[in-house]
Amino acid sequence: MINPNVEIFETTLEKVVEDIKNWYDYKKYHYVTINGVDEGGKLRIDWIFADYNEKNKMYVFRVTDVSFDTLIPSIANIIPSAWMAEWELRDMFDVEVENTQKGIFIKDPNIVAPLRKDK
Amino acid sequence: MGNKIVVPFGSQHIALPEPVSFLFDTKNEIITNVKVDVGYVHRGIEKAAITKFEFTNVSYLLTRICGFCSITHAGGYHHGIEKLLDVEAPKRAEYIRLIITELDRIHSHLLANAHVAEVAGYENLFMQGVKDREIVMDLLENITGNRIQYDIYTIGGVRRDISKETAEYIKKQLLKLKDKVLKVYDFYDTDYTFGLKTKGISYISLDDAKKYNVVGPIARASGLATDARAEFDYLPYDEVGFEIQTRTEGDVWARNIVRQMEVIHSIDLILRAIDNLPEGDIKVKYKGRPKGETFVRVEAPRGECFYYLKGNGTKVLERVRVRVPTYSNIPILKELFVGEKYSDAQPIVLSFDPCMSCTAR
Amino acid sequence: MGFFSKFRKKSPWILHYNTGGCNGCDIEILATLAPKYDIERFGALNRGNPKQADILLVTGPVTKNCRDVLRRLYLEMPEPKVVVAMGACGHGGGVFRHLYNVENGVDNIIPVDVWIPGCAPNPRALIDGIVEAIKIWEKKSKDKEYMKNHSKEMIKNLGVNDD
Ligand code: SF4
Repeated sequence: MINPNVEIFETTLEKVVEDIKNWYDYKKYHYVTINGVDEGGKLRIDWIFADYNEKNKMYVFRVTDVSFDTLIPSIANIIPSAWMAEWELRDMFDVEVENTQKGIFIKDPNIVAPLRKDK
Repeated sequence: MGNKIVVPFGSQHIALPEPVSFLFDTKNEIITNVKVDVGYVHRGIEKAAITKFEFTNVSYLLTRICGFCSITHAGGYHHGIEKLLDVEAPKRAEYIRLIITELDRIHSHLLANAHVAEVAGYENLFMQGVKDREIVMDLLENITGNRIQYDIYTIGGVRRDISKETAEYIKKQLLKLKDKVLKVYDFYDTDYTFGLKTKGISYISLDDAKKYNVVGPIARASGLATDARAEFDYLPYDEVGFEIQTRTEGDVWARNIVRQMEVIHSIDLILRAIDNLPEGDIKVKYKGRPKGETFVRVEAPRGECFYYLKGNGTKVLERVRVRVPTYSNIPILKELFVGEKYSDAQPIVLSFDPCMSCTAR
Repeated sequence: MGFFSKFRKKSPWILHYNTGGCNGCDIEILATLAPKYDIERFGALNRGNPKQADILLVTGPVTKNCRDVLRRLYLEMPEPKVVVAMGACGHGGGVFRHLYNVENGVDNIIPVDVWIPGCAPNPRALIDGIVEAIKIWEKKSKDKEYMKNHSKEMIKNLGVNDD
């Protein structure tokens, strides 16, 4: 069961930056975070937004079936505070994200992708 | 003119209760560039929450993400898991949760303000703030049995009830606290030298606050009225008459004032909640295993805290994602330093009230 | 006991470092410095400088990123020194035991003299621990049971290279 007020936009990895760019208005919406979920060998990524004015309303841009060796586009040009979540995504799942560096949280080279189920 | 000098701040520093390290490039005392390292306290809690703990116990791990906002993490988790299990806590339990959450906010805000005062050079004010805070700690110990990690939430209710005598005691103590807080508020508001050290420092405009998605008292000090207590339904805040507190100055001073205003408002909220405490059970039974996914937003002392939970019908959850307030305030904090004096760096950091164990988890 | 040790025992200075616990214990340390519990009665002050400190107060389970900082702080303190591990997660990791980025307790990194139990410990327990630490400090300084200089092997064991 998912909260009824969450609106989910299914999209693809190529289109997601374009979609967010067209939709996002920093005066109205509030970027929350980027979230990755390992769905058995494939990654699902959610870009999560909230609304300043409407109660309980949230918006999710969802891309499913991302394999772990594709390059994930960055939205830091549109939302300047998104870089932290992107760096974390890279550390936690060992995926390549545009314009990021390794090691914001995990500095030990022996620990690789803790949130992946196969590692 | 002047050479470039690199000044480290942290990870171990007298003004910092937690390890975080800033490397400031300075030129004639003006900061020109800054590097931050926020990962010192990364423990891997999100991983442990989906491998080591069952959903009934994982809240004990999640509350230990942070000592200040332990009740927020308990709240974020329980409001989510209750949706997944389809149980609803009784009214009385919700009110008790609200009371504890607000008491927690009071003690966190008082300490944060005291800290800013200390690094601005007011050690006595720090002592005064922490002394007032002891009243709240005393109340928390009285209600829940512990001073820091309360663990009062359980799935479907709360662990302990508030008796009639305790309710009276809380009211008496809070009225006492309100007088003291108002006195300190007056000082923050009117003192000239305190203003010199804090007014106009690290200004955030309303536009910047929106662009960078700033949350919490820092956003509200810039006039951005965002508060998860008003934007998300999780505790009966409407019924006790919650209002968002904002200022428009957007500097270190305004952040202190907003926090102080929130303390006073929280005291009012608790007093109203205690007067209208409904009768009834404090706990209901639940059945089944969590299945599905849910998004939760709750208001921590430092701003909005976001929880994402996904269950798959087994005892262990499939994904727990925590996005804490400091996490979304770090990007603007990094931008703010450039152009400020090095001597102001400490008040700036502490006016953000950064919580590193939350950020790194 | 040397001339200065007499005075140092009256005023042990504390160095506090959080190695990755929740900050619950650190809040309690601040509360203990403040008027209600007032650890200054025992002369103890919280100073952020390892070179002047007598007691190292460590909270948290020691994350991998903090490990080297903790070792360096320990080595930079002058002898005799006492290490106090505060809180359940300092004792073998507590709730964080065996997480992937955690070293399971303070005594895996540096030798510990006093343990303060609780999560979070009450300020009264903390005061008790500090008083105990002062006693141990006195004994250490009487017996001179410490190395004047760290030998090469010890430094190697602790895994720190001077910079
Ligand atoms: S012992 Fe408990 S309160 Fe103290 S730092 Fe560890 S988890 Fe936090």
